[in-house]
Amino acid sequence: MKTKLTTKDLITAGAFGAIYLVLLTVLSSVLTIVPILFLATPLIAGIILGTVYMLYATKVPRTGAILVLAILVGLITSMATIYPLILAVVWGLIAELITAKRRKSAGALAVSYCVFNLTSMGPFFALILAKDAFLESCAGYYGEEYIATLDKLTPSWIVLVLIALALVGGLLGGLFGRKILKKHFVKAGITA
Amino acid sequence: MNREKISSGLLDPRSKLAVFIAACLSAFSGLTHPQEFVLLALCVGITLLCQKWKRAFYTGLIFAVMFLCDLFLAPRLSGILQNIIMLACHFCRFILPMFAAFYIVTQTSRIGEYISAFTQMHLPNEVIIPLAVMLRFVPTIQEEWQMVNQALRLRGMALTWKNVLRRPLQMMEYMLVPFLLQCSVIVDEMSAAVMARGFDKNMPRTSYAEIQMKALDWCIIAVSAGLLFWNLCF
Repeated sequence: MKTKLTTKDLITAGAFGAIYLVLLTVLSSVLTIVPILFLATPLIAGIILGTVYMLYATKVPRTGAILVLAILVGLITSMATIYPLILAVVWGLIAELITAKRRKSAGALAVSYCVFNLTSMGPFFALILAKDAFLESCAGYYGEEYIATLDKLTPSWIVLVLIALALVGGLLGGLFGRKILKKHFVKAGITA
Repeated sequence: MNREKISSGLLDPRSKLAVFIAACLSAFSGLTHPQEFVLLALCVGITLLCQKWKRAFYTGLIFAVMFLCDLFLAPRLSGILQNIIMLACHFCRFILPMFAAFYIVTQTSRIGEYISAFTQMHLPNEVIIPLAVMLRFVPTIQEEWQMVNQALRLRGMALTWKNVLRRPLQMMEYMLVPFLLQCSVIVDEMSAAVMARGFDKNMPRTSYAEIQMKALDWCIIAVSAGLLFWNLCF
């Protein structure tokens, strides 16, 4: 098996990166309208995007493919601060390490997605690092009531809950993706 | 894709990208009213430069309506209606500049122009290809998604809140599987097309589209950078 990324792999990376990001953006902007759903974004996005990730990683079984996707996600989610990008690279590297020798095993991929899904925490960094400023800028867009609810829902330990949600979402998404992959895509010969 | 409508126009794709980046970054970090005006004027101006008259007009119109609603209508209403109007106005105004900039980036430049612009910047292939494919792929995603949604609606499984809440897993499977199958077929076709153009050779590529930074491009980049600086520092 060749390990270097070919042009074909890069094209697949770009295309699936686009799919992943469009779905992530649409989901997070729809979910933002309700405060409690906003906080559940890592969970819901993880479950839905798991399938995309699994298909992508199976389609491009090369070292570095996951890292490319992680960087793309990081670039888009680091709108307000630079931290999401740095962390996305870290999560991408860890996910690469998990799948280092077993790129074909769907189980390992599901576990790696668990870590990878921590990238969907990106939009929350502003909330964690500079809560007051974030709430203030939100107040302009969503009104005071929304802010009051969001403020009540986010005590300082919320970051742990968010991480847990992201991990659970990643796990569920990975498992669901594995099931779908086995049921539909392997049969259709797409994964080759 | 209506390729014949895309004109290469006056502008360098890099200056469009600069506007897009400025729009995203400043929208996310919050805007004051004058900044909002400048940003939107920039977007509308570039849409005009790209000869998309109608689009520019509608963008300006939507913004004006939102702004007037916010200024005059919202304070006179009360209760839940006010909340709804406020949310609609603010949210739309939040995404409008990004939407306009995104339209400029994806619909007014050919993909070849991006590739030759990035090549001129001496970026490695590993960066150019995913970026170019991403920009090219977003409209395709939209089309495919609509197709899948239409097919599902025909069978009584449209993407509605009722269906999503009643059988979430099934809905996910029915939406995602055809969508992803279709997308991966397109990806395969695209990579075949790219191979046919000799992208995987290590020779420097020539390009049909001649890309050059002109004075106008530098002006636009300067305005975007200035706006970003103004937004982030004050």
